[in-house]
Amino acid sequence: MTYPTSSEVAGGQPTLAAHYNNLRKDALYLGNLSTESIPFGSFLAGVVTGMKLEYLATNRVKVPHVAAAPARLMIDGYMLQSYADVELPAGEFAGAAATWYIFAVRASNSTFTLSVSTSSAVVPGTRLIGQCYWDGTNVTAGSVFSYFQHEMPAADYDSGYFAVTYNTTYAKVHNLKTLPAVVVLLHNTSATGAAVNSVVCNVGPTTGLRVPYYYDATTITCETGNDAANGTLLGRPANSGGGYYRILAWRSA
Amino acid sequence: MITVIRDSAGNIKTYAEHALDDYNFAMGETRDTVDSTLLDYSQRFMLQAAGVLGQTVYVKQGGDDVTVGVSTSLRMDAVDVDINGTIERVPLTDGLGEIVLSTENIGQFIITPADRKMFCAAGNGILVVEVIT
Repeated sequence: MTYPTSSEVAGGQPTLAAHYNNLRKDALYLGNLSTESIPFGSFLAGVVTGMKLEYLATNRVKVPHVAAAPARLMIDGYMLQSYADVELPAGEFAGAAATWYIFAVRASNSTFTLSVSTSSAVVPGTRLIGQCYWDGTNVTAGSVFSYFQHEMPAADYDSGYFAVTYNTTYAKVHNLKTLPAVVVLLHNTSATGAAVNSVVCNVGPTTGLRVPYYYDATTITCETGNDAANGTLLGRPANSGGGYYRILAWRSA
Repeated sequence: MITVIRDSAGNIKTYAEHALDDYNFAMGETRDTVDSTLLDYSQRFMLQAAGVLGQTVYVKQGGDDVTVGVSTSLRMDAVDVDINGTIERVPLTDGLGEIVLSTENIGQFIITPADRKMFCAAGNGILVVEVIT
């Protein structure tokens, strides 16, 4: 594809339909056909950048403003951004404990304000951007989050739970083809992971503590310790020589 | 579907609720599949004391005896249990039985199923009761 498809018009030159249509094609589809691309505006409508949400004392939330990376989004086709912290007014939460949804509301200029509701239904002029939890008295600070904030992705390798016992080697092929950046070994006393998950950092015997796992670019190996009481877990809130392991691994960049 | 890994002697080493395609086999190890769920399979043989499964139970020397619950989801009148290398037959009623352990002496009771070809001595199939001062 040649881009742009439109060309300059000289003074006095009559413009043809092709000029207009090429210009339109450039503007809407970056020079592509309408069958090949969605309109530029529709594409941008799905793009949200810099949109974080934070708890703001007392019982408020805010979108923090960062001048170098302001929150930007489109609402009903309008391109908007923050110019300062966007704060929810006080006294917006009430009633019984519930999840509340946080909306960006298009302002009369090129920015937005915030509103909250127990309904996630989006009405014209608003965009759903996050949620928080109201316990009936207070907003739980840790519950405030933006749907557009970058979070840790799901693990690239998840072994699922498998039964383990002490003094045994379990080698699992993660096949990331690169050294994992992060590996987490979990222990659970329930086959379904329904009990407390303990992060396995050490296993017994207590006279010779060791980290039970090591890995390379293809395999994660767990060698449980030769101690029936502590061989699969030595930690809080429990010790174990059995139970279930689950390995989570994330690839390096 | 449960995948069961057996060691070179045919004893069940581990199991999981997926194909275990990621399992790196050691020499002589084999793989079976069983039409079950992980929860159901884990209940083929379970040991617990004071409501605790899958973790070490610590009790004081000279305290009350410790009752270990033995359960199986299979239809059996009794099951053999290995206690520190000694095999003890535990009668079962509706799949449930009990072992009573003395706390008279300091030390460990390592309890596992005696038949490791039928039952897995990992997961909730192993229980350690440690008598401490």
